[in-house]
Amino acid sequence: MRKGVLELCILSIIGKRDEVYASDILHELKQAQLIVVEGTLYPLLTRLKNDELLSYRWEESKSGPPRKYYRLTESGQQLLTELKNGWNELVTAVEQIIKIENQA
Amino acid sequence: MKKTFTINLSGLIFHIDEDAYERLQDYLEKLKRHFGGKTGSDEIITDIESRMAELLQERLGDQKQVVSMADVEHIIAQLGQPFEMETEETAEEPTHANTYSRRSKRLFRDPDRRKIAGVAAGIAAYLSIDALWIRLLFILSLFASGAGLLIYIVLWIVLPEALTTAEKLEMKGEAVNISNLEKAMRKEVNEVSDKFNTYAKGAHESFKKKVPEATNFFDRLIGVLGHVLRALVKIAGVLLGFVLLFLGLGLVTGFVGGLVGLEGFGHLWEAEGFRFSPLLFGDLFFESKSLSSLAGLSISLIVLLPLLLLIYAGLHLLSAGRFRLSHFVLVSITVWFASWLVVVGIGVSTAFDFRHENRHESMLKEFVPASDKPLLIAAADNTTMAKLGESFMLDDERLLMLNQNASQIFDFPRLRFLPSEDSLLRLRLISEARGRSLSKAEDRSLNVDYQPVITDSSLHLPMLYGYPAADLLRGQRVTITMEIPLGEEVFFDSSLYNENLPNHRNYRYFKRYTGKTWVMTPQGLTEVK
Repeated sequence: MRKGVLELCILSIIGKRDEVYASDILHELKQAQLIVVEGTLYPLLTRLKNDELLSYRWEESKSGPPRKYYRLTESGQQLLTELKNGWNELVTAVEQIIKIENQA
Repeated sequence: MKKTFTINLSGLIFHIDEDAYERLQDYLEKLKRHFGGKTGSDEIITDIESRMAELLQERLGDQKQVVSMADVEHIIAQLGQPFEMETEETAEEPTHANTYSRRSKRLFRDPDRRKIAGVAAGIAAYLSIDALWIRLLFILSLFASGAGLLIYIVLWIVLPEALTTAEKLEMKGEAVNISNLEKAMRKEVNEVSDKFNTYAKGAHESFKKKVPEATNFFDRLIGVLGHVLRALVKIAGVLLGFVLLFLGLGLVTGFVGGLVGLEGFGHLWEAEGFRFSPLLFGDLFFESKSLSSLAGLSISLIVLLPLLLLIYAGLHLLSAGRFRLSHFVLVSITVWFASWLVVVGIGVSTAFDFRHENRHESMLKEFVPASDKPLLIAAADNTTMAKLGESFMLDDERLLMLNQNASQIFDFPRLRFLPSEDSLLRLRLISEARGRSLSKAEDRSLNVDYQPVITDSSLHLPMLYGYPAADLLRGQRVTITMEIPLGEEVFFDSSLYNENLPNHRNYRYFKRYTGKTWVMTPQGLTEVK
């Protein structure tokens, strides 16, 4: 359950801004309190990349180590749309049930 | 004053305190172990290192130059412990906390309670018993042709040392949770700092007395020496890995090749007249085919498993510890001991079948030999020869043969010529066999088939005696003794020597006697010129 949600969030963060590097994703996820420790992100990113949902390029940074900038691949984009739809359906379904419960 | 190291994280240079360096290294080591099996593990580590560099840089800012323990602790807390990074399989299980705290023990070497390398202490921690017993076992097993030494060395090489606190907890099977970690860590820190303090005090004082300025130089020298030494150890490890790998592979090839060779190419010896097949021998020696296969398998495992461990240790060293199969060592050692048990069990059970011996003696004939011409000893017209199938060597004295459908075993009888105490010629046939009980031994000795043809002036001997293969190899033996009156002459017919028969001692024996006349004297048979 949570695994899918995290993936959805990562994909959509990347999708929203076209190109992002890990610290940006971390920043957003932490703000939303979706992850507790930063280490969680890296295995996920690597897996998404290995599944060819993400691609990346290196960019030198003046202030720190070289950064990996991630962007969505075509199949990543597709999956993101599917996941979003699935999520919306789920949310509607759950809300309906909660509403009924509240009324009862 | 603190010693600092210079490290390179993702291409950035950091100065870092010694203790902080160790903590950081420890953490990275743990991450590597955690992600070790997964695809893309190197990439994950690189990404995390890169993030570390970023975080450290943020924390240091412009003023601070050296990374301290607090900085390292901070970024570790931010990045999280390896198990906290799991989102995948375990996150969905409601028993997450439980599975973690009940996490299975792992076998490590225990550096804190070691006598040599901590192998025994590690095993003891794993089994939750006193290390004394394990050490005792190792010492006792030294007498089993040094097997203990080999096992110890292999374990030394293969088992990782429990370095981190989490590993030390895992070694003892204690739950790796925060309070335990903290407890163990605090204990360790106290111990180490005590040790360090006393050491530092001693060192400091002795230095103060002698050469106070040299401290720095010595420190550096020792540091450099340490690096050189570590590099040398690494190279030696790789070399040793190669040696172990090739030694193991060579020995395995030798062993398997030897077996296949004996089994398949044994006929190369057929020029010598026999071949040896371990499988055939096993079937004729053990009580059932399955027992024979089991014994063969166990013996092979006893030989092969230590060799596989050698190969494993070699690969482990060559890959700098990255190649590891979980539980391989433990399983192989267990299987190895189990194989010994099986072999000993089968051995004892088989030995019982040799417990009783029966010696069946029968007088074939007792007579006054015709005196006008020498007694003729010749080969009986013998049809078993034509039916012979495989033959193989049992030992240097005895050659065993089988008929073509392997239902009968054949062997050469022994012949003995003794001077008779009176004027009678006596022919005795002794057949021997062994068995679990006296009656079984007797049955077997009676199953032995050997029928010489005797007249007043001749003795026709079949070249071979036979017994059912179902009786197994249980010490069956036929001896013919001839008591010959003094002065009586005996002629050995040349039919006794057959060029086509396997060249064997019992048989070669006849070569000396055939075609000649011999006379019995008090010293035994003597040739008549």
